[in-house]
Amino acid sequence: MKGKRYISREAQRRLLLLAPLITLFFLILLDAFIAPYLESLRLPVSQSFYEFLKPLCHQMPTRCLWIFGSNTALCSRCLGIFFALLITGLYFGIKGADRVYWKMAVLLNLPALIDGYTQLRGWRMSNNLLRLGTGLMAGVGAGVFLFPLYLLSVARLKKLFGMKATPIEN
Amino acid sequence: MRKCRALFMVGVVLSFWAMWLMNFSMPASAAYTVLAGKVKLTSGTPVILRLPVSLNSATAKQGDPVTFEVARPVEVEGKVLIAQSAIATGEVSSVEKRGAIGEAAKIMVNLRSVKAVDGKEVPIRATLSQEGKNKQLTAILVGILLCILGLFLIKGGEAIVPAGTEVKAYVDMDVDIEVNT
Repeated sequence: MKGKRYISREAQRRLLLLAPLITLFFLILLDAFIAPYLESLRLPVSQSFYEFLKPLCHQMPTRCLWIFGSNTALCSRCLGIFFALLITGLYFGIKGADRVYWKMAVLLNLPALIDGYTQLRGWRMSNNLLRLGTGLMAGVGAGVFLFPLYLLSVARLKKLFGMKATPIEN
Repeated sequence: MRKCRALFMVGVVLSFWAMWLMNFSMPASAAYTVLAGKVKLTSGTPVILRLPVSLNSATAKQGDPVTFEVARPVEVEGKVLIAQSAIATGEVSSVEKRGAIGEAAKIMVNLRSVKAVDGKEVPIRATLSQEGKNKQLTAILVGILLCILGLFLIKGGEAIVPAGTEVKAYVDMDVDIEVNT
């Protein structure tokens, strides 16, 4: 029986290529939410889940979202960044990319930089909604730079070594 | 395909909205018991504390009391059990002064209790530790390449815990807190 194909074969190959990165971002996000859940169950192992993400994020509790009665293992900004990276990764996996959107990457990272820097200097205080919003923008900004760059680089490397290239665009 | 994409985007927006709502509405502790006028604050409930003034290993001594402020109120079933800005106490449990050959200073603070809304001291557990900048490599390089005195003259950095540092402490035992009903 021949069913309708929702994702083209090219997209499947690109998704496979991006799978390690997408899986990594997904696991990071999963950890961020599992940690407070385990803490709500009063399981000491929750500390390991927090510690695992400690090198990535300061985890200041007042700058994190609260769920299950405790803070997530990533701050609002990092949560936004990783969520946007995951979505952008899936998008470029399905749609493909023909170039690196570096101008968009710079523009989308500016709000997070301004928000973070003005707070660091003590000129003003941000809030979690703003951190999440600027984090999402920064994540999309990083994604539109990283994923196309990765796909294009792999395609060029394959071409260089005379292998059959993964289609980078639909 | 376009419809699927639109639905997906709506899903993303809704999930973030739901996450944001949860941030405001989730109680601070998942496990709680309400008795007549009393609410049980269970062991393991997180309490977020903030250091109002900085701590320095140069001036701190072992046994010095350290005061923290509650950064986020602890609520159970919509009732505040530990108010924001409530005082938590602890003490400097150890101070290691900076030493020769670039050895950095270390400071450690143990938290003891936090004041609940009914005035009870709720025992908490948490440790805050900070280490200064290690300059051992610099001292050794200076000692070998320039002068042996460098080994003794170059000391490590002081351990400074800046004001505003947040600590996540945990309630150490079940405590019944009187609340105004």
